[in-house]
Amino acid sequence: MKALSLKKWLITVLLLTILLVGTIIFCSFQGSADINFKDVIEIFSNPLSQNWWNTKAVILLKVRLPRILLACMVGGALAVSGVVLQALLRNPLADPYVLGVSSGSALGAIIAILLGLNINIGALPSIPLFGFAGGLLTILFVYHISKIHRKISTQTMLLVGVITGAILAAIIMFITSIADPNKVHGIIFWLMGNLSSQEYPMLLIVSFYVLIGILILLYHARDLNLLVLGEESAIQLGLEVEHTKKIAFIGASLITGAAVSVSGLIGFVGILIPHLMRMIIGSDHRLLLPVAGLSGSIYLMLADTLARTLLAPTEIPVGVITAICGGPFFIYLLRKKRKPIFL
Amino acid sequence: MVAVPVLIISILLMASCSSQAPPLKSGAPYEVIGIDDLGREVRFNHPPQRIVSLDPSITEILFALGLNNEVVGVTDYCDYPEEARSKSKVGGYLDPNIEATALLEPELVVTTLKTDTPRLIQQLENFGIKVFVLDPQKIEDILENISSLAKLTYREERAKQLVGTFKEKLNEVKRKVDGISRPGVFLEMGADPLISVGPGSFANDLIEIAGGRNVASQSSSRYSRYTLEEILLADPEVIIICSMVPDDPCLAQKRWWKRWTNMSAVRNGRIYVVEANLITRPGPRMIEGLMEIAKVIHPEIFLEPER
Repeated sequence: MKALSLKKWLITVLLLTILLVGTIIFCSFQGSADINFKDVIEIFSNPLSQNWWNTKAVILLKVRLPRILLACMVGGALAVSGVVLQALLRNPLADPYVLGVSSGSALGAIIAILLGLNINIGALPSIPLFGFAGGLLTILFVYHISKIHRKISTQTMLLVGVITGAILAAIIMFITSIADPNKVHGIIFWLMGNLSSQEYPMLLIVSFYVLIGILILLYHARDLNLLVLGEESAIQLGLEVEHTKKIAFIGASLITGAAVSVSGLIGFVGILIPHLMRMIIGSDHRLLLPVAGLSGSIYLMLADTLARTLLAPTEIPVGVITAICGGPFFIYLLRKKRKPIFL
Repeated sequence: MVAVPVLIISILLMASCSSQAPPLKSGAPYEVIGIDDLGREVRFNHPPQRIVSLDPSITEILFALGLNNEVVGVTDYCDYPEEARSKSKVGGYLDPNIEATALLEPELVVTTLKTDTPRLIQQLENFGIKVFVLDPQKIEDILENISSLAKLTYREERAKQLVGTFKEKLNEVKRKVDGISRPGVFLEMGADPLISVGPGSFANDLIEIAGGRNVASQSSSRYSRYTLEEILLADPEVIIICSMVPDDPCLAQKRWWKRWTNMSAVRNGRIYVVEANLITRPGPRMIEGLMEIAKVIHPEIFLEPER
């Protein structure tokens, strides 16, 4: 692994951050309502005037922006979570879906929806909380089942994850088939992924979870590099492997749970972005984690913008866009490189 | 629209009727030939004694025709009238259980047209069960459906009154809104994500008939996810929330709409709740749905002063 200079890190992250801000601005101008720079200047130049909350201002600041920022958080969370899980399991197939974390979060959130829990527990709304709990319980279950002689076999864990995910998905299907038909409708749409109609308080809560989780994972990026070398080598290099793994799993399920519980199931970001970024910048996790997070954000913001504008005024489930646009591009890059791409 | 309902031809026959048929009010037994919305012929020479309904709207029609005892099986979703809930269940309306249906030994199964209907017909006909398919597209089709079912079940007397009242009210609404201004209406079929009603849906027709203008008429399908931006831009004067449960005030959803204070409907406090079953089921109660919608769109015409 080549040495990573601080300069390279700073330049790459800075460039992507600029691109991210650019994407936020670009997406803010896309939509049914024709809003241009002049309108924005007008909106912000006289915030106290009567025009402050005209329709364009409402659309821009209360409808589009929270949705774009939510896509930013969810996309970043799913991509980072994918990178971490792939490193932990040293397997290119690992992502929150494969390990059952997403299904666990989904089941938790669905239970909250079914119980009609629109209440807040403490200061936190219950649906993301249930989502996070479901994701965490799933990863803990998978983790402990895979533990043989106090060691985690990554191959076993992958398999257990797949099976657990399938069981949870079956339970979700069972619930939707017996639940009150009036509620099933909402659940099905939720399962297809939905970033609309979220408000700023919810956005803040999700951002809080996601940013904390990503910071924890970034802090352990160097350890992830060691883990990728293989557990034996990592131990020889003085890494407390089991401890690192535990923290990384909890961090990954924290951000996945927070993301899934507000957005529903949005596939493909967690597997596509990490591999793309590995192809481009290599697999040093100190750089890969922030880069994957930023590009995951950009990718999901663009995908959701397409989802809400392509057939406007009708909206398309965002998961459809992430897969249809991302899949072929991924296959193209894979063919072009003509070499194995993982690690 | 695949098939247009065709009026049933009834032929009086002198032959004696089968022993299980009760004496008919209209006198001698006769054969009826019904042609369903697929253009299929269904014949009876006595009133069918055991009927299974595979759609909530059909259950409502059958009960309105007074076939309370003849209906022996309904879907899990048939919740009106109350008595329908106590009938044997044959599964969902999209995926009725063929075995459960056949075990009820119905003479007649009535269903609305779905993707799977051709296979269903074949399977039920293997049991010697007659299948009658309805495919209403417009509110007027409900009248034809009621009439054709009434003929097939020897309930024409009863249907006359039902259809008469329905038609009368429908024409009254049409007459009263003729030529008056049409306020923009957004009818929310589902929240989170927002689901609109588009062309081809009954709710869309009801809004237009009731003298409103559906602001979501650009929807790509009958019920589609609709972007909030477009609603804010269209600035509807009336918002109608569909309640999936009868008498649900939908308070949370009303509160959600009230955030959008730019909208005329919100500023003027014109957010209303209408029961979904009244505007989605092509049955006899759809006229009530129409009256409800007319009342909220044009209260000045349809809201009677308190007595």
